[in-house]
Amino acid sequence: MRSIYTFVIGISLIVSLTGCENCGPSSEPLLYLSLSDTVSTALDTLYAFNSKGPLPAQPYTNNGLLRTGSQIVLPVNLNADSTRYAFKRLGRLDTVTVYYRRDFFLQSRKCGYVINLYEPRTGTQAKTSRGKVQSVSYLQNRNSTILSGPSNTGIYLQIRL
Amino acid sequence: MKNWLLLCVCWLVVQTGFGQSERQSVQRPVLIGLDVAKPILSLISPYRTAFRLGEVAVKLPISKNRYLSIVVGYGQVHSDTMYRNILMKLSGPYLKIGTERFMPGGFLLGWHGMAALTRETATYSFRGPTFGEYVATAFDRQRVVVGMEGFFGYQQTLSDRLIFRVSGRATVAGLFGTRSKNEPAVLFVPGVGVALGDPVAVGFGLGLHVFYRTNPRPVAVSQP
Repeated sequence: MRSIYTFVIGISLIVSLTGCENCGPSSEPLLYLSLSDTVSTALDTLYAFNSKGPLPAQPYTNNGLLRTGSQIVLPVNLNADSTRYAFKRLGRLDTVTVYYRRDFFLQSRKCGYVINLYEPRTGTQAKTSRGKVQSVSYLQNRNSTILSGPSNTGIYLQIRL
Repeated sequence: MKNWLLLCVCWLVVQTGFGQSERQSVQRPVLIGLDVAKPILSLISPYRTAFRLGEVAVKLPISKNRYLSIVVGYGQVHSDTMYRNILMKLSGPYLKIGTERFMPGGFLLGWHGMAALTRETATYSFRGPTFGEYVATAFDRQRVVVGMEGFFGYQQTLSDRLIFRVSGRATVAGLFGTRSKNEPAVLFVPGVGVALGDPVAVGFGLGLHVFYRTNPRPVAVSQP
């Protein structure tokens, strides 16, 4: 009898962990930007070009101040294949541009159309007016598995200042 | 479509004209009706879905208890957000022709063959609080609808000239035209209603018709 319970609970756990469909973002996907520096410094200004609204509040701040070394979460422009941001540090204004390929497709009745971001077929993936692009990763929507949770499409960009 | 309407109107005029001169036809009046349920549905907009529906039905006598049934209508739907981020606009005219048989007790049974033209557009969107909303077209096309339906109803005489009818129908139709498998199924098909399935659509409907008799109902009188 105990083995039946164990079997049912096990199946339920597997179904609950793997059966949930992840639809991904229903608004602008996110760019996770890491600006690393030898010494952590404050970022005075942060804005996006061609934006119509303000950038969302940053989840990772140090006493309310945004500093290098912490991850900056920025929305990606869905109406273009690139998004350009500006940040001011130590009195100097610099820009970061990230490039991507958008793929919209109908996934299911539950999700409707979903968006995935991929690296551009040609050309650069990211550029900056200061420092060096260390890595760019493009993540796509993924359902949860037994080993990992769901993930949403987004871009991870690391810049060494 | 216009030619069909013209033909129907001509037939109706001819039938009505003969009805005035032939005693037999006086007993079998032409019925002209409006579906009053459809304007009500247009007003209430259930599930924030805006319906614009109208339907006219004409019943021409064939024999004692059989009528030729001609239905002309127009349907338009602007959907609320469905499938998470899709909006649909579906519209088109339809024509149904068939026969119906009056049964004892005010019941009736019939069938229609139907044809419709449907204009289907859909957009999907992603919210854009920072850079503005992203809106794209999922599809924009026209398709032809061909199908059949069976219906069952009950009618009650309101006066010498007016008849009230409640009817239910089940319609099956095929949608012919270009459609990619990667496009969402349509919510509504003119003449079928809120539909299940695409390109083979199944729909069920309830009709509330008020019919006008071209000839008044005969009244029994005692012979001297």
